[in-house]
Amino acid sequence: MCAWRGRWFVGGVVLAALSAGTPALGADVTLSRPGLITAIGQSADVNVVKVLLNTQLKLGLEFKPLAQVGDLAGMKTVVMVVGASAKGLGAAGLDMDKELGRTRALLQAARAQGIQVLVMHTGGESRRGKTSNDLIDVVVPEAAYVVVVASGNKDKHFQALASKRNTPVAEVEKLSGAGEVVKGLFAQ
Amino acid sequence: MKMSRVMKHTRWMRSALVAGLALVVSAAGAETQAPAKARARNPQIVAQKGMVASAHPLASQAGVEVLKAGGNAVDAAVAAAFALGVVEPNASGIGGEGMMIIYLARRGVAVAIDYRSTAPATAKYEKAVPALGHTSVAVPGTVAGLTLALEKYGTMKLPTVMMPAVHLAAEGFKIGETLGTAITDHLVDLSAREPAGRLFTVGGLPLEAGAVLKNPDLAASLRKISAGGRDAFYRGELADAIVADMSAQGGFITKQDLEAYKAIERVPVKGSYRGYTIYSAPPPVAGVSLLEMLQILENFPVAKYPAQSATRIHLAAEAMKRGDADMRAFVGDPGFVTVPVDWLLSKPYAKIRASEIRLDAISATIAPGEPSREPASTTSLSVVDKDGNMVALTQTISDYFGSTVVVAGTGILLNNEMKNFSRSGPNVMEPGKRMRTTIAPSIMLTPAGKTFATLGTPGAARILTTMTLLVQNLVDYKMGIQDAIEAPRFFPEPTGLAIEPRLPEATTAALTKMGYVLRPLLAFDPFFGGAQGIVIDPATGRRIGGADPRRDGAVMGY
Repeated sequence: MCAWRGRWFVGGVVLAALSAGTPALGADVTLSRPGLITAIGQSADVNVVKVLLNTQLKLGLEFKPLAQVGDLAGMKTVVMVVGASAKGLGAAGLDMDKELGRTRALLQAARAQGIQVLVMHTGGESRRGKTSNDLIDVVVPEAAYVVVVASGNKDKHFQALASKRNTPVAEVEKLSGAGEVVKGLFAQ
Repeated sequence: MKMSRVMKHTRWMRSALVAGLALVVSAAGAETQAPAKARARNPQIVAQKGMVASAHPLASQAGVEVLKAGGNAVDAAVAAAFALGVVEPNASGIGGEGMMIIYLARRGVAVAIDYRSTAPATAKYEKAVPALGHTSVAVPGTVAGLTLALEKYGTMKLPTVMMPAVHLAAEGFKIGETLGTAITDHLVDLSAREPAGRLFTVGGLPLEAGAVLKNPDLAASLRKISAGGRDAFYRGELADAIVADMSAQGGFITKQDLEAYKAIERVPVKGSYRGYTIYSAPPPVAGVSLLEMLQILENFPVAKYPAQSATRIHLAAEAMKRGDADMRAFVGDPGFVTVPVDWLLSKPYAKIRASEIRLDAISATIAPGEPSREPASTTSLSVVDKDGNMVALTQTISDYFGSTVVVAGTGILLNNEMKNFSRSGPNVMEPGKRMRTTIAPSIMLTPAGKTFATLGTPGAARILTTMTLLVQNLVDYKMGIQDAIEAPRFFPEPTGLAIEPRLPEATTAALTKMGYVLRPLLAFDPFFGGAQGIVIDPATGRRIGGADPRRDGAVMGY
């Protein structure tokens, strides 16, 4: 085979792997415990992630949908489950400004304390309205890793945001797939 | 019999597939209304004979198969309604209730079938009515209402029209994103109460879009009703199961409550908007308020203002707030309170209310009614048959997944309607009383008296505002039904307006300048309901249907 055809062939393999939703080849992210799960936008998706990570994978992460900066003390990982819910925000006594403020404060604290951020989006297309997108645009650039269920990423927005820092994005078809990805990320 | 062969399992499934393909083909049919300016998300469906528009394609399919087999609009509506209770379990079912408006074209007569739920005789609360659990449940009316409608105005037998629902419950169906999201949103509540948790979750995770939901217990319950009629629910084994569950868990419903329950045939409320006659759902539900809102707006040259202009929105918001205030102050169960329907629907009263509205200012205060919690989840369907008979039906279990109580061994998910009573006023709780709600299924006639449209929507307090906008979109703005349904919606709130952000920037800027605080939601937000509608083209007689992309709405016709 000619050299240029070989390079095209390898490039095609790389592209195929990327488009299949697996992280970039060579991405090597390990997450550690103790960790904390919090909701960014207060949608009920945070309850789903709690079942995935704590009930099924038994990771034993703290669960604080309304986590504040002080709750990050001693943590090595924060799992941010992003998706906006007007009902959830209202029940929590928050509006979008306050939730954005809380989110930015958490991200700043995580950065300062060397805490890794895992962003998860499991809510599908219904969690891709303007308010959800505003939150996604804030958290993804600060993430060490992103896991997204495909139905909420038809426009590949997560990859576009993550590419600026070469953050790996795992796109999965089902919730169970998200669990498998996260299981592989956490150190034993 | 020809009908029994048509309704056999394998042939029904093949018909469903063929009809689905026909649906896609027919979407390319010519429209008789003004074309959309932007691309619609759902196609506008055109058919010659009969049509069903509902919140789920499988329910629409059930109704259309009945029409094609020779059933009338009522037969089809009952079939679709039972099917909706299976495929949209978060929004309605035999554990709930509703209201149906029927228009009999040949006779020129409209009737309403009231199957609202009722307060158990012994219901008593020391504190607020709980949102969930056995004490939140009111005596269901769906089985009584649908069987009454079929007996009096249908042509087919109950086993025939119930067969699709039985099949769907037994064999299962693939859930869509709407139901998947609803299950996620209520995961904690559903997981906390068996058998609901086992029904809607796997390994603690919510069923996702694409998963198959089967409810064999519900299939068995539906078969019992199919064979035994309404008594199978209100007097037989199912009644025993409901009462046993209630008794074990501290609920209020007794055998006497179930035996005493009756659906009621009523006279619909009747009003008009710019010459179009509108029949809508009578008290204890909110058709009277829908008509009041429209009749207030009739005093303004609405068509002069573009559909998405700040002036149109402001006028509608002011009328909606007045209709809502009057509903809260005056509407209740007519078996217990006197509702001043004639006065609320009078044109002079509408003129008085209209005179309060300023084009350039938001009303600071409007006579407040008593705050009451309105049902948040509901469903609606519309049917037209080949003879021009129409049905508009809205039914509910109140909140998404109602009380989350699934009666053991029956698959029946019970409503949580008891919280919809008010602490005072015409909607205060009394034994046996029907609680007020905002549902307003409606049928419209043209100024010449010809059948024109059947419309309905779920959406809690947004039902009335969405219905008002739909009627205006059809009458003032001459939109096609699909465009009318997809047009951006809004809802007046204490601080301003909840909006779908597809409004023009000039409009949102003008509204903000007027003092409205705007709360943008999703572009097509289910917060504003899931409307379905069918229009008959007065010139050609063609049936033109629209379904709401805010839920899984689907129109089918033939």
